[in-house]
Amino acid sequence: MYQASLTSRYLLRKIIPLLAMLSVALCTAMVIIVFSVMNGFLDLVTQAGRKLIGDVAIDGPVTGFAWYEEVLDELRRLKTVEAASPMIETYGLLKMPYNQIAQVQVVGIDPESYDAVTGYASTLYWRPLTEAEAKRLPAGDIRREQWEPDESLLDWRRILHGSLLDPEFESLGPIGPEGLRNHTPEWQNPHGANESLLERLKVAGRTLQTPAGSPGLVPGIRVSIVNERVAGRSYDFRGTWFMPTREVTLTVLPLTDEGGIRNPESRVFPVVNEFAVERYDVDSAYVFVPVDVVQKMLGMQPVRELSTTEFDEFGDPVPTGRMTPGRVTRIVVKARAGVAPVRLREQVQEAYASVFERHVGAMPPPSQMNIRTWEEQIALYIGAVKNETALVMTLFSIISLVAVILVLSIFWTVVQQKTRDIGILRAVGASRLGITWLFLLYALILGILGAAIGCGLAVLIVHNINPIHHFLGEQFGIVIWDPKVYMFDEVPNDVNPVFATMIMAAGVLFAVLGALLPSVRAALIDPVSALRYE
Amino acid sequence: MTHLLEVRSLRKTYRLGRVDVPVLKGLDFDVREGEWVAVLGASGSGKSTLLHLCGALDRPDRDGGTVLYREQNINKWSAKAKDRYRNTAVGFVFQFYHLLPEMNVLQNTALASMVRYGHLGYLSRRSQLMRRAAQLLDAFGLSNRARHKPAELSGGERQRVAIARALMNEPALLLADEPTGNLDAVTGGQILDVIAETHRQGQTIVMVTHDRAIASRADRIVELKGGRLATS
Ligand SMILES: Nc1ncnc2c1ncn2[C@@H]1O[C@H](COP(=O)(O)OP(=O)(O)OP(=O)(O)O)[C@@H](O)[C@H]1O
Ligand SMILES: [Mg+2]
Repeated sequence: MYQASLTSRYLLRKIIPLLAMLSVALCTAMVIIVFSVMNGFLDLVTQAGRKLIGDVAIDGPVTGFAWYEEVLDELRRLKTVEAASPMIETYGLLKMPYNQIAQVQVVGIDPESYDAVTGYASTLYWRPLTEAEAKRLPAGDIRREQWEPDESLLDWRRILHGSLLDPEFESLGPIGPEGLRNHTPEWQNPHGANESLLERLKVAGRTLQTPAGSPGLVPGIRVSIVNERVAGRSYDFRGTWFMPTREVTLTVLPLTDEGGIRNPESRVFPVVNEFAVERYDVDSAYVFVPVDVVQKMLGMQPVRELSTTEFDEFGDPVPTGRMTPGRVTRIVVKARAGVAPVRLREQVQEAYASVFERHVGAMPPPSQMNIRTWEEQIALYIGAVKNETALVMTLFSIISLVAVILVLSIFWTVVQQKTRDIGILRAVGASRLGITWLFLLYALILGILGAAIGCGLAVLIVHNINPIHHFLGEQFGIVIWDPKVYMFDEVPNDVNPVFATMIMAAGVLFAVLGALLPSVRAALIDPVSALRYE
Repeated sequence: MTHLLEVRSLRKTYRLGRVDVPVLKGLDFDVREGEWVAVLGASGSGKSTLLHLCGALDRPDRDGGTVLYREQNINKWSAKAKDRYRNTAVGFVFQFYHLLPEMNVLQNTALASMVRYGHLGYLSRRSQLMRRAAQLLDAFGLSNRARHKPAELSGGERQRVAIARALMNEPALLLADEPTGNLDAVTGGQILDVIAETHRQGQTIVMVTHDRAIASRADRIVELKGGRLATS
C-alpha cells in the first residue's frame, strides 16, 4: 500500500524523474511519428499500385500481343472476373501548348472498361464533385465552384481570363460569359466546334472524345509544368495555361517486329481533361489517349493480310482477304468482390493459354507473358519499402534505448537520494520485494504518463504533418518529403491505433526496464547503513 | 515475568578493510515483558548495533550467538518472517526521527500499517487505522499537526511522531536509540515523559543512551562496555 501512497507523492514532488517521463514521451512520439509516416507510405504505395493496374495484369512484349479480343471475351466469361480492359503502353513526346516538349508515358485505354477495372473516372481532375469530395478541398479550389452553366461560367472565366490575358491572345480582348461559351473551344480547339468547356470537362474526359467525336487526351495534372501545386491537393491555374482549352501534339515511336523504330507518328489532340492519382511519378508523366488511336499510331491495328507469294503488276503483294488482328501490350483485369487475386491470376493464365491454343504461332506463348497480380507486380518495390521501414524502425528503437539509459541514471540518482527512506521503510517492516516494487511502480506510472503524452504529441504532429511540413518548407526551405522521391505529394498523416498502442507499451516497458536495475539496487541496500546515511 | 527477549553470547564484528573490529563480544541480555531497560554506553560502544540486532535489522556474526524473541531464534527466520517481526513485533525510534519527508504526520504515523496490509487490506481497514493513528497523535499532543509535513515540525514534535509511528502496530517491544539525543534538556524531558507514559500502559521498552540521567528514568540500567553488558 505504501508504494502507491509514496509514488503519488514522488510524482508531485520530484522534478528530475519528470525528465525520465519526458524522454519516454519524446521517444514514443518519435517512433510513432516515423512509423506512421513510413507505414502510411507503404499503404499509399500499395493502394496506388492496385488503383493503376487492377487486380491482375497480362503483360506482353513491347510490340504487343494479338488476339487480345478473344482473350478479353474469354476473361469476361469467367465468373470471377468483374471487368477486363485492353491497354497499350508506350513512350512518347508531348509538345505542350507553350511549345515545350515533355517526355511522357503514353497509356492507350478503352475508357469505359478501364474505368470499370481501375476507377479511372474518379481520378479525373475536372469533374463535378460530390459534396463530401468538395468539402475536403481547400476554400480557394476552383473545383468547388458550381458546375451548372451560366453562374459557373463566371467563375470559370477567372481561370480562362488568365489564359486570355497571355500576350499572345491579348488581341482577342475581354469577352463575357456568352462569348466564352461560344468562343473558347472554337479558337483553341478546332476539333470541338460548339461545345462548351464545361460540357467537355464533364463528359470528354470519361470518353476520351470531344462531343464532336475527335479523340482527346488526358494528361496527368503535373504533366504541364505551369500547373502550380498549392497546398492541399489544389493547383493554381489563374493566369496560366489552362490545359483543357488547349491542344497538344503527341509523338510516338512505332516499333518494327524486330524491335527497330519506324518513322515517328505525330498527332494533335485536344486536351479534354486532366487526372490526378496523387502519385508524383504518374501525375507528372502519364497521358491517357484512346487505345484504338494509339494502336493505329503504333501500327498495331488490325490490317489486311498481304500475300507473301502473289504480287500485282506494280510488284506489290496482293491482299489474301484475311485480317491480321490488332495488338495491345497489356490487359488489366478486376476480380469480383471476394475473389483472391492469386486465384484470379490462375484463371487468367488458363484463359490466355486456351486462346493461345487456338492461335499457336500468332501469339506469344504463355511462358513469354507476364501474368501477375497487382501485389506481384509491385512486390519488388513494396519489399524495398518494407525493408526500409523495418530498418528505420530498428534504428529508432535502438535510439530509444537512450531513454532506457536515461531512466536508469535518473532512477539511480533517485534511489541514492532516497537511501535513508529505504532504511526507514525496511525498519518498519517493508520487504526487499516491496522496495523494488516501490520504484518499479514509480517508473511504471512515469512510463505510462510519458507514453501517453508522447502518443498524444505524435497524433497531434502526424495529423498536422502536412501543414507543418508546408510551413517548414516555406519558412526555412526544409523539404523532407520531396514528391519526386516519395511519389506522393502528401505526407501520410494517419496513426495506426494498434501500432501506436504497441509502441506506447514498448515505451512503458523501456521505462520499467530502465528502472529495474536501480530498483533492485534499492532492495539490496543494507537498512542499517541506510539509516546511518545522512 | 517471562522473558520477551533473550540475547545469548551475541557477537558482532565489523570489517574495516583488512581489520576486524569486534563491537559485541559475546553479550548476554534479557528483557522481561513490560520492562523498561536502559542500555548505557559510551559513543561507539555498540549500543545501536545491539538495538539493530534485537530488531532483526542486522544479523550477528556467524555462530555469533542468538537473539530469542518469545523463545524463538529470530536469526533462523526467513526474510519474510523478519520483515513481519520488524513490522508488528518491534517499533524503532531513532535519534534523528527518520520520518518520510513526502508524507504528512498522519501518514507517517500510519506507515507501519500501510506496510502491514496490502492495498485491499489497507483500504478496507482505512478508517479504523486512521482513527488509531489519530488517537496516537492526540495522545502525544499532535492532533493539530496531523496534516503537516515533518519539515514543518520542531525536533520534539518530530520525535513524538516517530514514537507514534513505532507504536502504530502495537508492537511488543519498543526499541529507542537515543530518542532524546538530538533534543535540548526540556524537550528531551517531554519525550521521556511520553515514553514513560507508554511504559505505564504496559509497553516493553529498550532504550539506548549515553546519558546516565536519562537512563535513570528506566526500571533497570545495563551498561555496555567492551562489547559486554554489566548491570550497574
Ligand atoms: N557498517 C560499519 N562498518 C564498520 N564499522 C562500523 C559499522 N557500523 C558501526 N561500526 C562501528 O561499530 C562501533 C559501534 O557502533 P554503534 O553505532 O553501534 O555505536 P553506538 O554505541 O551506537 O555509538 P553512538 O553513541 O555514537 O551512536 C563503532 O565503533 C562504529 O564505528
Ligand atoms: Mg548509536
